Amino acid sequence: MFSDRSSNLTWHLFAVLAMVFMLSPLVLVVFFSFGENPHSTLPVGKLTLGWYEKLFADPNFWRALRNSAVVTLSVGVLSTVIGTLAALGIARWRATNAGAALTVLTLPVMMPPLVLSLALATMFSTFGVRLGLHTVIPSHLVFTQPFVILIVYAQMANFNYAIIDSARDLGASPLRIFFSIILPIISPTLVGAALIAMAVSLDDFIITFFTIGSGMTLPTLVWGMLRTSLDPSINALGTLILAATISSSMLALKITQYRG
Amino acid sequence: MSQQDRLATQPNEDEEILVRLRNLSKRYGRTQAVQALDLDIRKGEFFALLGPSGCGKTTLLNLIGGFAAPSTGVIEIDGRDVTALGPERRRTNMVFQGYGLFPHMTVRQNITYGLQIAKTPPDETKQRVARVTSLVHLTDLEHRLPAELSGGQQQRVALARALVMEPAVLLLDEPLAALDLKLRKAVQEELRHLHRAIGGTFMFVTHDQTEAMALANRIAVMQDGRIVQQGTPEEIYANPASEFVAGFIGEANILHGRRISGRIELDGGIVMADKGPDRRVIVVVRPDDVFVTDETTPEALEVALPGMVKDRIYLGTHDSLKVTLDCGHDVVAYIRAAHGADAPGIGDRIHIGWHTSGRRIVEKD
Repeated sequence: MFSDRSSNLTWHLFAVLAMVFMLSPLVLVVFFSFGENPHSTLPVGKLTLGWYEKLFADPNFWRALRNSAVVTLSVGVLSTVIGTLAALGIARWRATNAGAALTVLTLPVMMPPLVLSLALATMFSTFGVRLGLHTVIPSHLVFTQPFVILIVYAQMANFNYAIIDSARDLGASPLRIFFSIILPIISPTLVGAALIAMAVSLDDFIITFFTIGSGMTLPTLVWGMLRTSLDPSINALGTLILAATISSSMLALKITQYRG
Repeated sequence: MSQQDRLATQPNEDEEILVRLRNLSKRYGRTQAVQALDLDIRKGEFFALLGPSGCGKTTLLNLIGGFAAPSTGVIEIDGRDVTALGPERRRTNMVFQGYGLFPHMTVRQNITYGLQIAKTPPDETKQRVARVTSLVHLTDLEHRLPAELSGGQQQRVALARALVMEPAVLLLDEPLAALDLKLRKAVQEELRHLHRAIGGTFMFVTHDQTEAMALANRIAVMQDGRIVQQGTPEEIYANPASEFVAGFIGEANILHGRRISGRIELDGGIVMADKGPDRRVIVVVRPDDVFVTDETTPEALEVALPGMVKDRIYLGTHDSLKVTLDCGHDVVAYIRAAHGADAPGIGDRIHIGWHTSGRRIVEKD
């Protein structure tokens, strides 16, 4: 049998192992992106920024970056606007109806992405829509909006409606109430929700892959590079995506004061 | 407020009616929140809507403020039919129970919000804000955010924000409910002072009868969506119109009985003379109208009833005696804090009674 102390130690060891197991692939990606070894194996050799230079010299990278920027920003703005309007509406419903609506709206997040991609691709081809960024953006909205709706709904469900009644009482029109009262109060939440939507959109591969046609975004570029060459410029790209996703999520959590 | 003040503010028929409600009712689905009622509020009154929770008093206030549309009836403010108008177009302003301050605006921004919408010139805005902030003692706090203020200060901001609009009627929804006991006394005083200083018309909702008595110069008691009695605090206290009102306003001994050919007979054989039709009645005697006597046939008292002291609570200014009469009724009597041996103690046998002027007969429905 373990003594108290050794059992305690075992649990700590187990936790550390689990963390190593989960994080080491990510650490390796970052690690190899700065090493000279072109085969992404140990030893990595001298430190270098050469793989980043190679990546930045690739016109495909810039094309993919531009496309990713277009998709991410559009999805950020659109899902925030649409999701907020939806949440504001649902927040006025009775709790049971609102709960049902939220369940239905969050289904896309729970569905396997592959099924969702197939459904979207099928729908676009059925209606004869040519694939491109204009099909990627609405496809991303399907699974980014639920995050926005849930976050904004949570805020509005706790909203003190006496504030709105006070503003009416003092003569404010509905439009004025929205812009001078509601928007300033919920804007940190909206920024946070937008950042989360953008982080989810930025690193999506499957749905983008099925709905983009011949173009590419950063994640589909990674996939393409994996098939042709396996040099550490992929790792450099991966590191950049990783940094963008983590920083926007962290910013979002900080802004919305999310305490997991 | 002294007796004299009260008399001075007592309404008379000549005074101008500011708010006139006619046949006003409100139904939410199957619930009749406010039964069709008429009510007049005169200029300068400090009017209380008093009743237990769910009696429709807040709904009535919301109807007057324009936050709910009535199912039937007409609301007139200052001679103008405002029934169809929203709160933004009525000359009423409301102090909400949770205050409803704008959390992202400073005290000053909160107070000037309505003036800005009304496009009040900057000079006038400055004057009005200065006047109202000094009235409610907020002058030094103008640049704070609501979250940086205490509950009492937040309430003063809500008051200032409403008063700066110079409303025809100031509506207050449970203005003291969120404050602790000590603050409540201070705010009561402040509200009375404000009402006198401004000379405006205030209307407030409360479930607390002591609050209504302390603040209002007229009270409407509500029960199940109806106004069951209205009048000055003295009138309602001295002449409750029903058992409900008697029990709700102040402490009361309520004794059930019936009137038979000019005599009231209570259960247990207590008999008093009273003219009127034969029917079931209650006799209401306030604890401070109950006297302790050692005589069995005192001259001045209408009745003298034997009983035993069950409990005695020292309350500083007076003692509260709980007496179980031999006929079975429990009666509470307030007696002046007695010093010395003649004060009755628990277990003592005593007689209690009351003057004819100290009891009310209320006919039951």
